[in-house]
Amino acid sequence: MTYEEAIAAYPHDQVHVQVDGVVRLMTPAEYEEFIQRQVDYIPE
Amino acid sequence: MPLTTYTAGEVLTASSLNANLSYLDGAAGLALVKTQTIGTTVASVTVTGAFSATYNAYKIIVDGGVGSATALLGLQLGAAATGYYEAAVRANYSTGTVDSGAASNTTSFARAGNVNANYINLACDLINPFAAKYTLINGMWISLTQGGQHSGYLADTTSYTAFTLTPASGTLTGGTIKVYGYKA
Repeated sequence: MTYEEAIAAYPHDQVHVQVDGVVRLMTPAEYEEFIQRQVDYIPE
Repeated sequence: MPLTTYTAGEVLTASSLNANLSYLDGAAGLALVKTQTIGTTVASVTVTGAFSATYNAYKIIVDGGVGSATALLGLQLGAAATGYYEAAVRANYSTGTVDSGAASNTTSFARAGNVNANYINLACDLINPFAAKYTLINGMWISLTQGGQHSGYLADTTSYTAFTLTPASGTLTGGTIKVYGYKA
């Protein structure tokens, strides 16, 4: 998945992080890390 | 004192009932420590207050839920981002071909589970996550194409109370994380 494909597949306002019962949108840094993870992922 | 059973018409005394409750409380088995419902399109789920001095060993399962992609599901203890050693050995359902995946001194137990559009697979035991010892993990590998086993350890003696589940790709939606403690 390219960076652009990852952005398109997972818009910032549709990806969250959860701690116990609290779900929130990602910070910009968290989102950037998330997108990069999609780009770097190698299926196993 | 073993568990007392009663016959029809017998008087049930408080002391006998309490003895039974004490017996059951002290009996070996699994005690539910925490449940956490997974939200919608979450990239990671952190469960706090999962481990304590009460139990040395824990079982973690995810009941239900799906992933947005087919991917590995990683498990990280607390904020530990190094020192994870793991290996997974699995067989292909169609061919029986066996292969493996492994990592040394990495950032999480990256192969703790699997996710896909049909299910979230996480069913593992953790030994000594709270104790000041290395933490051991063992569990099942259930992907759409392979079944097998995953094991490993975290090479530090830090005491952990929390863990985080993170799919290597995509997000999680739904399902319930259940943490059980192994009673003595």
